[in-house]
Amino acid sequence: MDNKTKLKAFLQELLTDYGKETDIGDDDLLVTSGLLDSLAVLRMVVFLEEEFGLDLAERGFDQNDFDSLSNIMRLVSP
Amino acid sequence: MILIRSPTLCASSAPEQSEVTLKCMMQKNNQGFNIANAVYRQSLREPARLAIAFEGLELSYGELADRARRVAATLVQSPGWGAGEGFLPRVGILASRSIDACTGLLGTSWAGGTYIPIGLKSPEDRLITIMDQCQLSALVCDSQGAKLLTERVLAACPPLVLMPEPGQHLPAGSSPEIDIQDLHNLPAVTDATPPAHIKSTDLAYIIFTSGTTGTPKGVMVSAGAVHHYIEVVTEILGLDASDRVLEVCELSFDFSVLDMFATWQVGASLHVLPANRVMNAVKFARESRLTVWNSVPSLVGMLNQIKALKLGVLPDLRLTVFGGEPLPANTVEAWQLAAPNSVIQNLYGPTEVTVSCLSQPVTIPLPVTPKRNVIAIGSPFPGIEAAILTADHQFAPTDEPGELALSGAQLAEGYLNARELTEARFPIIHGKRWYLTGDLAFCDASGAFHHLGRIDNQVKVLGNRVELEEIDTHLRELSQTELVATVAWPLVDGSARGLIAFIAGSPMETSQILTGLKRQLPAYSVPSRIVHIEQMPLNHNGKVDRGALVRTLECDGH
Repeated sequence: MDNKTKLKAFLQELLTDYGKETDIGDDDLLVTSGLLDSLAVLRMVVFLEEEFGLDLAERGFDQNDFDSLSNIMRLVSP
Repeated sequence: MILIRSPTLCASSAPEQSEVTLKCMMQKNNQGFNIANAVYRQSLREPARLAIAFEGLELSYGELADRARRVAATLVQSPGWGAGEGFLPRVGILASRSIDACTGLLGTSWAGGTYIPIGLKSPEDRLITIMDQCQLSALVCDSQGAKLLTERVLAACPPLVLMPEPGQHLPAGSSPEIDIQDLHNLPAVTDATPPAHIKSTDLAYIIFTSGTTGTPKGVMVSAGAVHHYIEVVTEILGLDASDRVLEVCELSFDFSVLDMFATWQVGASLHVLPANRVMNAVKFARESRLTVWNSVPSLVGMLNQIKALKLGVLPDLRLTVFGGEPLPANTVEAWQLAAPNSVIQNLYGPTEVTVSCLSQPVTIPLPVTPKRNVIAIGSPFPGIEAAILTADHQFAPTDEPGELALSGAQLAEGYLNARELTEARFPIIHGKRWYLTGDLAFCDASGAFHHLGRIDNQVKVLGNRVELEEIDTHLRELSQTELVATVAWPLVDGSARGLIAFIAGSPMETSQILTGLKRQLPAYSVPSRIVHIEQMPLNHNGKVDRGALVRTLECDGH
């Protein structure tokens, strides 16, 4: 599974937990749109740290980085 | 007869509460109080001063007062205004934290009404239940609230609804019996009408919290109680006009009362962070150069987890106010590194005693509650008495745990349309009215109170008050089995981050049950998972053993 597929599968699972079983596009807004909340962002952070070795201590947190599939892709494969 | 002031018994009131304070309080009761008074006063004194900032829009006190006055004039002129029997007209505020929400509630009070925040996370059925219970005269929505006005909700709406750009949200002529007006284009008011006189015993607001029976209960808070609270809390916190204050709470959470009215009381400015940007709170506070941070401790726990609490990242912050849930010592330690110039106050209080009524300055060494590693909840505000009660409602001795009871100027009037529940939770003990918090606590020899948890099944999920029995009531119905139990999980530093429900012997599908719950409960009350089990663990009384369920989760390493 490539990174994007893996990431998309994870986000889809998150959305299902939030009762939103819609298919997401690369640029669909996930958090500012209200689809997901701050707890979901936390779960994203944990997932990205474990699966992609994301280090926020180094980079600094900006919620925008987590607001769409393409933003997250940029975050993990700069 | 036990004397409350006896030093060996655990009841304590603030030492400052002298006869002078009491006289002052009595005078206040005669004067009446309008929560909009401070904005009015500042608008005359320094109209150009910044009052509120939200998503790039900044309003001065003069502008905020003007907007509130327009809302007030529209309300007062509506045919349904003042129709209530024996109570002030009530206005629902269906909104997130926003300038529109603030103008709505200020306008309500300005017109002499009671405001009732209705959380946006409420599903349709709950919105309708709340509106039916309240006999609203009007409803004010912000653009997010307006999106919730489905056909069914509209049918339950009062005769007047104010919202921004109604044309965008509702098709023209969709509800001819309701007068829908554009909140951003209300007729101008030329004279500087002051806020209406409101008696101290009349209600400033009603805030709904979770109820064990499955129906939300409305806590009725008087103008006099808010008056006392705001005067005392601004003094304790030492707020002043130069402060720039964070607002990160929904209006349906009464911490927002502190944020808004303490800020405006001193002529400071309120900086509102929308819900969908909350994880950017540190960045926002830094860029807006905030001096005061108010939040639940969980938010700081989460910000720490995303590594946002870098060393010295918030140098301008001079005061931090935590409340709404237990404050873990390690949250304090992480915060002190991020905001090295900030003093920290830990506030405690239930909605039923007007936001907060005990305070504990966080000093070094940390005033921790033994074995729990959370900060003590401290001593009562002036005008408030706190006591630890034994099971038979006697005052317990020092260091002995019991139910924390509160009395004094900030007690709510009770629960809306629920006399029996009000009498049970606000009993007269030794000739005085108390509120029984349901919190287990003790008072140490120095007079500081320590919180030990709940005596019932109420939990706080990220600061939101949730009765587990309320969820269970709906679960039983939806799953068609009696054997259900919801537990708070996961727990981080003793605070709940979510909920998990267990059901035994249900013929229903998980997804069906979840869908049903989402229709009836606010989102933060809906369990993230439903686990089907073969047998429900029971304790020796034959009741569901929630502790055993939590232990299975711990063993599973979830």
